[in-house]
Amino acid sequence: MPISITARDDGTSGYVKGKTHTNNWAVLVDTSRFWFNYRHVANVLSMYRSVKRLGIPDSQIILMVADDMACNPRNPRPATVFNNAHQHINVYGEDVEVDYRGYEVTVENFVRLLTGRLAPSTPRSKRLLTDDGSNILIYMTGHGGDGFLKFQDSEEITNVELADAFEQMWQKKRYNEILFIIDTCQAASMYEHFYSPNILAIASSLVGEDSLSHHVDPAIGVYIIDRFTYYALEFLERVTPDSTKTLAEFLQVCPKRVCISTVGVRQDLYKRDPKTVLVSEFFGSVRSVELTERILDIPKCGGKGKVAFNDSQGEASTKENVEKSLQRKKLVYANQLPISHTI
Amino acid sequence: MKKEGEGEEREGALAAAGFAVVLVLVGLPVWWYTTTVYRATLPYATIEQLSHQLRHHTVGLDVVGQVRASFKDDLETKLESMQSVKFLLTHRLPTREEQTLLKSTHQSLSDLDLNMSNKIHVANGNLAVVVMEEGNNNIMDNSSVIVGRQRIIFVTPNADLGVLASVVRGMVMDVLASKRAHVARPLHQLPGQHKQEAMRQVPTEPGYDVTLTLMVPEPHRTKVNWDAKVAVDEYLGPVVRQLESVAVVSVRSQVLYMTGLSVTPEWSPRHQHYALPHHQLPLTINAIEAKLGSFVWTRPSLHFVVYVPRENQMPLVIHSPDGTPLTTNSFLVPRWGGVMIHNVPPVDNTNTTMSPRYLTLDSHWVMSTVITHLHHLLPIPTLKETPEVKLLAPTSPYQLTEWQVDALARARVSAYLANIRTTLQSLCELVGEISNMVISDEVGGWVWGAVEEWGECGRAAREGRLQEATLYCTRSFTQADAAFFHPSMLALLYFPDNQKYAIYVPLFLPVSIPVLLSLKMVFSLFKKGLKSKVKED
Repeated sequence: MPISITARDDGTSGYVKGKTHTNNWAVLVDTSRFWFNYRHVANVLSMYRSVKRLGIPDSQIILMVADDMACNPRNPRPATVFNNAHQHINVYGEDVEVDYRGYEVTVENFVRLLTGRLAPSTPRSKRLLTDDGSNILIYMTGHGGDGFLKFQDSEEITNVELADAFEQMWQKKRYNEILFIIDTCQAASMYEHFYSPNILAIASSLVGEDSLSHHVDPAIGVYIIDRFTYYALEFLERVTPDSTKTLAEFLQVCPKRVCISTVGVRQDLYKRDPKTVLVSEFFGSVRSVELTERILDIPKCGGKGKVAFNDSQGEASTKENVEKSLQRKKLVYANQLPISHTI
Repeated sequence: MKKEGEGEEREGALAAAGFAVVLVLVGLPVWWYTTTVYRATLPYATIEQLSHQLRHHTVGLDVVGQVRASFKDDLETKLESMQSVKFLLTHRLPTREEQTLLKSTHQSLSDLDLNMSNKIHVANGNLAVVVMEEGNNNIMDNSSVIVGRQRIIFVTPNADLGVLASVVRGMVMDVLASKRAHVARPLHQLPGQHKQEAMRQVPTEPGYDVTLTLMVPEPHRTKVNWDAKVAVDEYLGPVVRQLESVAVVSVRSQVLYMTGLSVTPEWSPRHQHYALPHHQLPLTINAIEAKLGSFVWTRPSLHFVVYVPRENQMPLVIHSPDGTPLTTNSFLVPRWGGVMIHNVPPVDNTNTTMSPRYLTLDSHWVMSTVITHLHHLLPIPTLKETPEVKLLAPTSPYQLTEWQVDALARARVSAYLANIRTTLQSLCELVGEISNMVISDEVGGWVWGAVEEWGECGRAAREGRLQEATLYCTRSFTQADAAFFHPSMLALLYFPDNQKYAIYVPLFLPVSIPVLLSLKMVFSLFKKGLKSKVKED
């Protein structure tokens, strides 16, 4: 891996590893509802778990789940969602944060999220606040067809609309690179019309093929995970935040003999060689850091005891002073909350 | 009988003609008026025109002093090479008061700087070059160029003009920033140094949120006392006030207990401290990011974290790649903020393991590091100090020199102009593509306002009025973004042109086909009527 250390005279040394992103975001979308689509919810929650484990913070993950399987009356194990019949991992977890839930998952909300044209009252957790240095992982799962993806069993998003949304993002410089993964039937049709640069698209099946699910959980009675996502997860579970696995390996994660459908990849819009791109550049969030060599020499400001250091000499007296000063300021709980500064 | 048949035909023909007339004269207009969407007019031509206009700043440069005639012309030629900034050089001899100041030998350079600045009154956005007297070189301290605290550069009469030109170029705008603004390429296409700079710098926005966080993972072991409000008021306050004209920075602080960095340092017997290798640093930020608080604003936020290490990892020092401990014990995260590790000094008391240790933070060190990181993130331009070129250090409480604020403003104006252009061009394209997209008055108002201010900003930049340019640009940028991200601008809500046919054909076809076919009957009757008339004639 090429590491170049450039020292500038202003006192920092930089580590540029050939990547150009400064932060990572993930948009994970499940578009189907109803109990028999349990596997789609399990798909998206498994991806959420991997992405969180590899380091992307919740504030930078937008999770859209169209139906609540964990609290569905038919769930024999309430508040849990498993992606394996042997219940190895509860992908629902203790700290899942769903940003768009239930009927909020609509085509309009999804496109508004991507293009940024949200109502002014939308909270920050529901916004995609990316900039020109953001790598975005977009994962979509549900029922699809030739040229469309079904949302909530009542509407569809077409591949043209999706391509236009990405173009709007590109024009306003809202992404650096996008990794678009889609696990539906005839998934490859969704990336056919992309025309914006720096998008790498992976589809679980080609046009005319169906994506198949992996196995059924006899206790629940529904299929609980799809094949492509199952093998993708197997791969991701072995990835650690500092691993050196490349995207080229990820593209080979589901060969035809296990996936039965052919995984489609669109690489012509993506200028970098997947063999040189790390998986953690999309799935994880490794921040580049610069060690500070020198700090500015700023004159000290006068004032009471700010430069006091607890040295070994007057330890008892300093303790008393500190205790006194702690006692003197009677803090009211509300004053300590940052809210009091913003009001 | 024939006449009756003819009469019926005539009635039928008249009825068909009547239908056709009503359809064309009444139906079409009514349909047209009821289905036109409201589209406020947008100044497309002006946007086109402004996009192609050359963007450059003008900086006035006053040369004051007794110099040879070619000084000004040589300097002018040397400064011509800078793209995106044009210099207006003027030369004048010093007034009597200025001459006395220059001649006097009993003052330090900082006094001279202060007095000269009061006398010369360099306008906002301009610079002045003061040439020292021949004999008065001792206060120049063996360097040929000294940069003052406000907007004056002091040079010796025989200074190398190339060096002076490079100093002026560096002061006017960060050289890399000016190249970037001129070309406006996306991040991944920039070469090495540019890319690193661009990746470190926060995006240009009118306001930022700075959050200072004190992280204490074991509050039962270490009791930390820090008067954050006073520290911020005394150190950050002046910097924030100086930057007010350029960017609005709001500062908040918080204390996080029971949260620590998940690192595994190793005990280094040589240095007698826990060494934190640099390759563990990139993974520390994301674990704490979730706990740094939910944000109220959607402005870009900068986080500065002061970390007090755990008891069993104390003292903790970062090691650079070559194994040496880092004296500053802090690191910068590009576009995000900075982290510094504040150790508790060892206390050699026998029963310290039980009682909690008290620590008062070294505010000066903390705030110096915060300000250093802020300088890198914004970025505040600096100049390299060489034996030839020296900079006068700023006096407290103001940490930034006037020319630094000017240069930052100039770089931001360039960035804004590039940004506004892409936003408005993209908006026009979008609106042109979907011909039935509603353009509300609100959006129209914003676009008109943005275009007007954009034009004003460009003009102000070209004429060297920097403060006005900053003001116009900020307003224009906000309005252009508000128009672009308006919720009604969603293409999804409107039918594209090719779907219009699918909607209108089932409506019009069933009505128009019978009318068209019956028009045939009307024409045949008309022709018969003509023929019979001719016959009669």
